[in-house]
Amino acid sequence: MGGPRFRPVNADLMWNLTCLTPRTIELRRQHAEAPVVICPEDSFLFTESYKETVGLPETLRYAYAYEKIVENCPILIRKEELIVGSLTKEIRGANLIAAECPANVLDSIASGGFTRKMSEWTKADISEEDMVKLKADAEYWMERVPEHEVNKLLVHEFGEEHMDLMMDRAMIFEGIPFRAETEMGLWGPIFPERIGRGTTSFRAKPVHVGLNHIIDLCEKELVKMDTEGYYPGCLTRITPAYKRCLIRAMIICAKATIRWAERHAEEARRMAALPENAEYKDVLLQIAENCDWVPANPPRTYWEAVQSYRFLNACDQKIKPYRKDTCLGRLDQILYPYYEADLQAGKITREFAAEILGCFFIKLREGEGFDPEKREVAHSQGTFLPDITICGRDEQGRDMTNEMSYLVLRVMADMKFNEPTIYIRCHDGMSDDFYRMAVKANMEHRGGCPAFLNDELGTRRYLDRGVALEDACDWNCSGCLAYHLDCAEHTGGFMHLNLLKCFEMAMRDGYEPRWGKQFGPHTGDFTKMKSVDEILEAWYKQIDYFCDLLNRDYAIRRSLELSYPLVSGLNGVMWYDYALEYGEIPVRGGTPYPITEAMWLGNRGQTDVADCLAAIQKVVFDDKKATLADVLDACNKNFEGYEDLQQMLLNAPKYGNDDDYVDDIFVKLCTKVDEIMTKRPDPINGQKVFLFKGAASAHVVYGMVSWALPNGRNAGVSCNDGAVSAMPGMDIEGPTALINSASKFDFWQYAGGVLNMKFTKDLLDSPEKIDKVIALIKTFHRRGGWHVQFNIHSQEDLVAARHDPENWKDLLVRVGGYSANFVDLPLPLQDEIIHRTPHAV
Amino acid sequence: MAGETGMIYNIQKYSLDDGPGIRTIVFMKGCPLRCKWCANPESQETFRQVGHRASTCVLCGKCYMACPKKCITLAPDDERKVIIDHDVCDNCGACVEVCLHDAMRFYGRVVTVDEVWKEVKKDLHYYFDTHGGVTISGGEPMYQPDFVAALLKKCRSEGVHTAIETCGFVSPESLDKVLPFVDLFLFDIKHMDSDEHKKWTGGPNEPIQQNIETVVKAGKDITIRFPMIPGVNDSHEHLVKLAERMVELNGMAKKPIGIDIMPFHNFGENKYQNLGMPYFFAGMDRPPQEKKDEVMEIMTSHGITCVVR
Repeated sequence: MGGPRFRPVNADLMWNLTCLTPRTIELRRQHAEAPVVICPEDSFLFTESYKETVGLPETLRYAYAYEKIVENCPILIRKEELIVGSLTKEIRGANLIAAECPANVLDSIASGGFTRKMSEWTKADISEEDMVKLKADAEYWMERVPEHEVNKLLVHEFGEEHMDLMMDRAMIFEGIPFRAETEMGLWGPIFPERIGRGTTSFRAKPVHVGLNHIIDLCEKELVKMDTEGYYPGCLTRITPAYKRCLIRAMIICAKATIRWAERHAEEARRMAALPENAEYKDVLLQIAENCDWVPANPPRTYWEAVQSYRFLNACDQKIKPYRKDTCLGRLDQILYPYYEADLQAGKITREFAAEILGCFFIKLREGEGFDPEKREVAHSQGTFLPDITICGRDEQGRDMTNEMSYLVLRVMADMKFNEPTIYIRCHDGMSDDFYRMAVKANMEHRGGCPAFLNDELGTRRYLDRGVALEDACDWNCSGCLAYHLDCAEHTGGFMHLNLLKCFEMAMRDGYEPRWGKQFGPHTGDFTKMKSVDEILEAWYKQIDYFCDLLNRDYAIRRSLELSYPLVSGLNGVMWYDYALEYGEIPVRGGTPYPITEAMWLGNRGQTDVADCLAAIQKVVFDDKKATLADVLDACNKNFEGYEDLQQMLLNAPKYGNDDDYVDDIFVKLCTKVDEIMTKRPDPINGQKVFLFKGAASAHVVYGMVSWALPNGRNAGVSCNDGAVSAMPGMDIEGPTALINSASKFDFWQYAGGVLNMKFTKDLLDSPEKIDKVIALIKTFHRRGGWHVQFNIHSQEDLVAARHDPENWKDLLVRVGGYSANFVDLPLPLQDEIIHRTPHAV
Repeated sequence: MAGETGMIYNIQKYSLDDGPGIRTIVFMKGCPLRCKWCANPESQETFRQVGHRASTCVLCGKCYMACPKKCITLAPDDERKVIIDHDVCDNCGACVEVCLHDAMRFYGRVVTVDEVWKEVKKDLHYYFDTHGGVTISGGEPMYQPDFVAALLKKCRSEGVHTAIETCGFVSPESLDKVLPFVDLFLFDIKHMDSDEHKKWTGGPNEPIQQNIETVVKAGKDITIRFPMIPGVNDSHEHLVKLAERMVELNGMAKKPIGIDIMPFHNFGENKYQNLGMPYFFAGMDRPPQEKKDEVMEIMTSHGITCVVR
């Protein structure tokens, strides 16, 4: 191991900085007071372009539509800004493209309002005139929605009842696409991954090299193809026309993005010339100069680097407004060289660097989305998951924490936005100073940010899949609870299994009570079972049966997605080196590693089932206070008339208390479930599947569709949150016991193994107590834990906010893979968070 | 054999205030004193007691039906909800057996050293990370000297830091049994005047002061703890007297001895209600900040390290 990678940091100096200057305070005020407005301009431009390009290959049509949008959309610069690049003409505008989701648009218009997020508080405005035009636009696309071949083929292959297993019906498993037909759009909400527009499409490299360089490479490649022949890849997929279209689309998109930046330069110059802006003239002229230079060229300064970052992050959100979730990668590593050079050269101060970063965060928070009400609970609209990952170790094991890492925390704590979300890659080489700053920042932010991840596990997962060490070290977080490599975007298809449903069916010989059908295999009469192991066996058989079905279902969905003849040129730009080498974007196989195209197989409900079985063991087999028939009848009746039995089941030992009575069951069943879920290879690429515990609010949705369970939980109530969190309110032995329970099973293969912990404020009121919380984090990681995050506030605050949302709009909480304003959450989720046990001294 | 089992009433993990680092506290049941401000009234008696907690009670009446002595009264209009006649109750636990809501509960259980160690060792990781360990509290730990000595010996042999929190009102023999296995004493001084001490706690001060000197002379780490009770021991004169005693103790010690001031609180009040015991300090406020500043000032001016909790 060599010497330290970066120069040492004065932690106190960084903590005492602030990005709250008159400028950022004003920008934040404007943002807080701005109404949310639906801005459909981009939608009209998109449609206009598509009408002009009828007959061209889809990839080019898509690129031209992007070009049309960014060359003609309104440009907004606020005179106080340092970083520009708005998605709409409004401070809080929701850009949308009706073609992506025409049915949703029509639904929202018919119901008289666009819901921006998840609750009543967040209705968005739209002008009457725009509404009329948007309706016509959506109606145009309704007639052109492509054939719904995925669902048709699934029914053809597995029968009509297969669809009953999906979301919105019995909800046994979900996959993308799994939505009802009316939600189908041209490409939008359902197929983001198939055209390389998943949650992970941002990459640092284009910032560093500049788009002109990429255009240059693309043009050279076209010449090379003409003179030397195309890349001799898979003849059935990568044809000369396909590769030519991709490269052409990349050139169109790169040039259009440069043009978008230039239009900002023009607007800044126009504003600078106005007498009323005299005070801001110098800054506006500097912004113009920045926008002239980046993202076309490699940034010359820190300010330009942040500006380039913004454009390259936002351009993707212009063309895929329905899924704006683009992660931001390892921000501290990306910006550090520019920051350090400017600092050493005396070009910036730390204060100014913080102010610029603060302006960037405000920009990130300006985007708005919309979603029809029926998906409110299932999805966290208004959260775009712009995940920022910091720290970690390099391939030599050196700590990569640098002064930018501190700056990111400082700005996060000052801004107190629910997004961006900060993820720290924690490891033993990270200094206690940094841990302390992170915990203090968490206390100031109070929204569960930053999250603490286990660096070693993240790297190990990639080493396990044959990725070279220097690439494996370069992982970051994306989406709500996923992670990916900068060298190989590998968001594939997602499938998710509701283990509670499987348990319900194991209790009823394969019969599903909500939908009233025999969905699962016959696994025996529950009431006659003699032991917990026998029940487990029945459950395993149910899981195995549905995993098999899910795998076959996935093979069909995913291959249909991948055969769709449309690739995003912007994604090609992001991954230009691979796109040029392989003639394909990474998500469709264009990377050096065979881990792309991966199936992400998720599940929820292991802790709930462990509690169910422990309760049965205790009440039925040990204490003999009831029979299995009683338990089944009680569950069927949602414990009505069985209040005493319910209480006995609730009193049984619960996961989360470091009690082996239940934790042993937990470890046993997790081991087996892993084995079942990974025994079939990814049906597309034949590799080991990625296990994950994603879908941050899945516990609410899965809970809603699930029947009463033998752990004493009533029907419809949220199941346990996170991946390894305890039943709400049941982890009463304190934080060390919860962590011990949560780290008994080695979840290293799972992405998103989140432990949510709630602390009261007094737990952290002295430096000594903060050090003790740091010890908790370190021990959790040392014991193999993956991801822990803290909500710090008082229970009274939450209850007050529940009843008086108007006055608690700023209260942030950590839900799962994202933070949210508490009052914006749906009521069941609010209740769930209130009932998580707070750990106090 | 004496000391194989002990009577405890709680084991609390992730404790941050009773000794260094992250600690597990084992609360022993039984105490020779009866301090009127005692925050853990359930710790006083040496036997297992039945109590009732109104906050989780649903007034189902099962305890009433189960009680063989008929000493339970249902009282829907009373905030206690259920009233136990403790003069009649023999703590048989028939009511605890039937209660599903953890309202009727036992205070106290008999455990072996191994059983306690099994709980304590679960948090080893955290002790080692934070220089924490185990603290035996109570009640009075040295009221069960054989058991506590055995438990502390076990912890010591596994490398766990040990502390005990004591009122000091024990025989020198008991102290001798435990002393070798303790790394840190959290030693109470409640009043410097023996008559006053006896009036408020039921026991005189002399044996306590004698025991403190034993511990100090043995070279053990020791922190004095002073429960500051309004109107009892918080007069300026008494605080000065206390400070002088601290100076005296420091004169005998190899290492400086600090003092923790524990201002009065009434968190234990509802537990008195649960056990049907009268609470002497009902309605008393917590000491004002000026009082805390005053004691800090007095101690500091005597050169004593002082922490107000």
